[in-house]
Amino acid sequence: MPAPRNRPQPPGPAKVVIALDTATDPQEAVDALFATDNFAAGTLIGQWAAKAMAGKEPIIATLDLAPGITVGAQRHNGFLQGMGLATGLTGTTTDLATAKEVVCAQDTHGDQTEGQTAMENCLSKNANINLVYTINEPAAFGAYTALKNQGKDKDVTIVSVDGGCQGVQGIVDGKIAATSQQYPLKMASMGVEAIVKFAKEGVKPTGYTDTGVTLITDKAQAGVDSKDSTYGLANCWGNK
Amino acid sequence: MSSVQSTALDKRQGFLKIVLASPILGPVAALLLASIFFAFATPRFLSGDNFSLILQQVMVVGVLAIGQTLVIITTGIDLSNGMVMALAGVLIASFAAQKGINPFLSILVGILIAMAFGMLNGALVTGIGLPAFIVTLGTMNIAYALTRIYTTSTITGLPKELTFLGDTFKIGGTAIANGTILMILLYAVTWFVLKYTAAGRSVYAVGDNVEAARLAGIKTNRVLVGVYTFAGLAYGIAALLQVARTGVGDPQAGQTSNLDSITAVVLGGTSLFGGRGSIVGTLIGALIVGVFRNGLQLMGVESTYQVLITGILVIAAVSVDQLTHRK
Amino acid sequence: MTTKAPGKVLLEMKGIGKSFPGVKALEGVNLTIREGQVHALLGENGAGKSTLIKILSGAYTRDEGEIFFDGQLADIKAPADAERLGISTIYQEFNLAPNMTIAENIFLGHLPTKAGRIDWATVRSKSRELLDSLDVSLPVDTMTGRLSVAQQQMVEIAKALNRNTRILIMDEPSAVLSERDIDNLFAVVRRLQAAGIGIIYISHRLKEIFELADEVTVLKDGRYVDTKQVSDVDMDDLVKLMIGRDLADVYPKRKAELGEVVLEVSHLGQAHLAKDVSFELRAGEIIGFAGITGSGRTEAVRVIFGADKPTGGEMKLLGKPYRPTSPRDAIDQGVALVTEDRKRQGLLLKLQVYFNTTVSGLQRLTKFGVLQLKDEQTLVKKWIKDLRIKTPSPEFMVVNMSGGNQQKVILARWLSLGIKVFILDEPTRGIDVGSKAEIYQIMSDLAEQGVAIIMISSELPEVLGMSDRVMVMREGRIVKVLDRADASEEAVMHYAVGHDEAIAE
Repeated sequence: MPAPRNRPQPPGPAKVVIALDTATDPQEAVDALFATDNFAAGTLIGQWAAKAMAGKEPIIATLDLAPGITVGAQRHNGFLQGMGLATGLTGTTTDLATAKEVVCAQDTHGDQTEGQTAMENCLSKNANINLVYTINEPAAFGAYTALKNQGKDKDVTIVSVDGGCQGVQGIVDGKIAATSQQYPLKMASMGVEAIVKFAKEGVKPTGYTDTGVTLITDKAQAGVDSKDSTYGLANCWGNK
Repeated sequence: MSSVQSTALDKRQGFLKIVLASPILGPVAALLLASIFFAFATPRFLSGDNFSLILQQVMVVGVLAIGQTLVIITTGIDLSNGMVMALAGVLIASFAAQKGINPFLSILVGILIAMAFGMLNGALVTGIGLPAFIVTLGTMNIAYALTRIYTTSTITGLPKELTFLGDTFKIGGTAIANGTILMILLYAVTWFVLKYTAAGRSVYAVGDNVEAARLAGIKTNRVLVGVYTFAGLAYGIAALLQVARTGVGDPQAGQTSNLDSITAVVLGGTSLFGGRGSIVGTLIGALIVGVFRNGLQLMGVESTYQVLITGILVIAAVSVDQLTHRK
Repeated sequence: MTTKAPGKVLLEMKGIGKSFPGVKALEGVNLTIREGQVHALLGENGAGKSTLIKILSGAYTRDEGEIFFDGQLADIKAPADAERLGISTIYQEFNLAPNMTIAENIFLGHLPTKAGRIDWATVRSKSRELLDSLDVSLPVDTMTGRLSVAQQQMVEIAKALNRNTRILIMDEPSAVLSERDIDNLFAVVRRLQAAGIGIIYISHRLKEIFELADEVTVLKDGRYVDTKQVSDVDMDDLVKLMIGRDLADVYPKRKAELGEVVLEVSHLGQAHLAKDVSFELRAGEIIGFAGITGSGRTEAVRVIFGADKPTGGEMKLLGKPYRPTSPRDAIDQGVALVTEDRKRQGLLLKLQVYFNTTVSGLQRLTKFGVLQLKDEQTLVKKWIKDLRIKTPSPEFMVVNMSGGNQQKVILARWLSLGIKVFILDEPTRGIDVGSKAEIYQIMSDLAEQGVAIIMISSELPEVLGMSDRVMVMREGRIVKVLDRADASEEAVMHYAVGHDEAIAE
């Protein structure tokens, strides 16, 4: 492992540098990172889906973000690993893993309309899709509309990531089966707290602080920790 | 080169030029070739349901492109259409679902607001004489901001009057969306106006040479404002189609629609230099984009390559246009 | 013009042919140019002169025939090939960058470098040399956009000389010049001649050809007719070669029966060029506006047509106050303007003959708002026939037509609209003798039908031949009105340049 690059010491009073949301390269360039683990988020819904679909052969569509973006790859790969369809994956690559159960993988840029188009075309390709992984809830809603238009909304399970308030409402309405809820506001507040602590007490924050992810679903599965939609609505970010 | 050889070459070149000069022959050929290719490349392409899907997938950009076509014929360009559509869509959805206003009235208001933006574009282009690119870049940002000032969340729970155009009816087993019929009707009306009315002619005249048109007695300012306002009308209708298709009022809608509509116009054979263009070509252009996206997604091709192929198509279309219309 | 022994042959074009979709522009054309010779290229519009020189300059590629330069076979396929051989062209539309200086334009694309940087010293000194050799005293740093047409032409010539030109092609160079500038141009041409440059000179003004050229080649309908020594022919001979018929009275005999006063203009002004214009115009009358460039004629008529707002004065049409707010307004009241620059202000170039013909009168062809395309076709075909417009079909794009035919399309545009006051600004500029005669006949017929006509022209023979009265304008005012009987070229020039004032002082 290469030696960490020396950070140039700025003259003057001591400073602290933190990063939010995305790791720097190398990670040692900053004192502390407050981020969310997108790979873990994907893994959670993957594990849930594996249990929820037990006994059925999964025919999967993945509605992804866009090529080369870390977040999209982490969530996608985490999902596949959580489902047990892939092994040895980590959150460090931007390549999307494949599996024979995934019959359709398309990009949506996280947009609802694009999600709808991608789902429609995936269904054209294989009408038997029964599980849909989506990069975020807008894409999930788009997928839901496409499924509903073809009368398949009751037969297909949709999972997603984000946990925004509109997204959790989707759980309540039965459109999305499970979603991994993240806490972006926590990133900001914890980061600011750390800086304030440094300013007041001189204690520098260190290392990586995971701001956490919670699986939200109203159809809990044994062996997979989750909370219900009431909790989800109470802790969601965004407009209620 | 002997004169016998050269005459034969003349005949072939002449014939080719005449064929290529027909405005929509190129786009139609491209559409047919693409369709044949995908029919062989992927088994699911050639089905009534898939075609009906493609029509639904292009109907929003297809209607946006009607307005864009007219603007481009006048040697202008409209970068604001996606954002104006998003704003109008959000307002239509919000008024009907959240404010309890009569759905038809909501639709009317949304469309009028889109037309107001169009009129603003036209007024700025004719009044101050700013290039359309700059003006619509500005109104694009204004519409973007206004949309997000109004709301940042998606509006749901729409009454069925709003989703009517997204509903489908069956023709022999194939589902056709109501909105598709509206799109085709709009194209037909626009085609008629361009070909059979003085107003339509004046659009081409203004696009060819605005000063010569004015000196020939065309009221060029009126024509330009009219074109941009009509385009606004198209954008408002597109907003309704967008809302109907997705079932929500989405402030994030239409982010790339301005470029998508320009792509459809260019692939349809309309020249960005103005004075020339076929509205039917634009419909073919929109279908070409839709067919490629659908076909490539069915084939499982990564979206990067979809974008690459679209780029190549655009360059090919513009090149063919230039080569066949050189003096 | 001195008779010298002919110099050595620089260029030979043999059997040149060229086709475009639908039309064979050139067939079997020959041209031989010698050093130090001015060789005129004559022919009606559509005869193929433009096409021939475009093949020579590399803008087009020939389909048949051979080109020999300095005795060697030359395959000219692109402008770079022609440039390498030393063939330069000065077109009617100049190729100058208006926001660059004279020196920059002269060296455009050929800036010399010294050690990787542009050698501005050489650029400026060489430009100064070239301008001096042409007797032009302008500073080399002047923006070309500010120059007059005549001065821009000199810059174009300097540009050509800078490229070691051996053959200089000049396409209608005198069309946009005043009489004074034309003399200057001729002096320059003779200087170029003396330097051994071969000059191909295209012009419709036969008088110039006799003054300037040594040899003349005549083309007709894309075919080669003949090459003659200018000293061996006279004007009738040339016209006969060009149009295949005798030079009859080009200007039709007119019996002017004047009707009521149609247009009254009092103290009309427009910005800086038209200051105080007053006149009356009667039905059936043709008045000619003469004057040097910049005398305000075009500005005045643009106001009459509603294209510009006047800064002063008033007008009456058929006795009622006339204040057109736009060209449309003027047209609806029966006033039409044929602009002086038909390519930039008259025609919709990338559109068809039928489109250009009916664009001003579409309302007459609509029923309940719907255009009656069949009626339009009938109308357009009638005008094509009546005006003898040479076009393969009404769908032909006007950009591909010759100047004379383009002008006829513009005339057809107005002729079905019941125009009462017809304004023509330089109606026969850049048009061949045959088409000119046809246009004069149209004007004469219109006048006989009671139309009132205003004609602006820089061609004195035309002004004198057609007008019932000649209005001489100078510096924005009508300084003299001459009746047909009293008008002569000397008299008009006298007032146009201000000799009357000079004499009075």
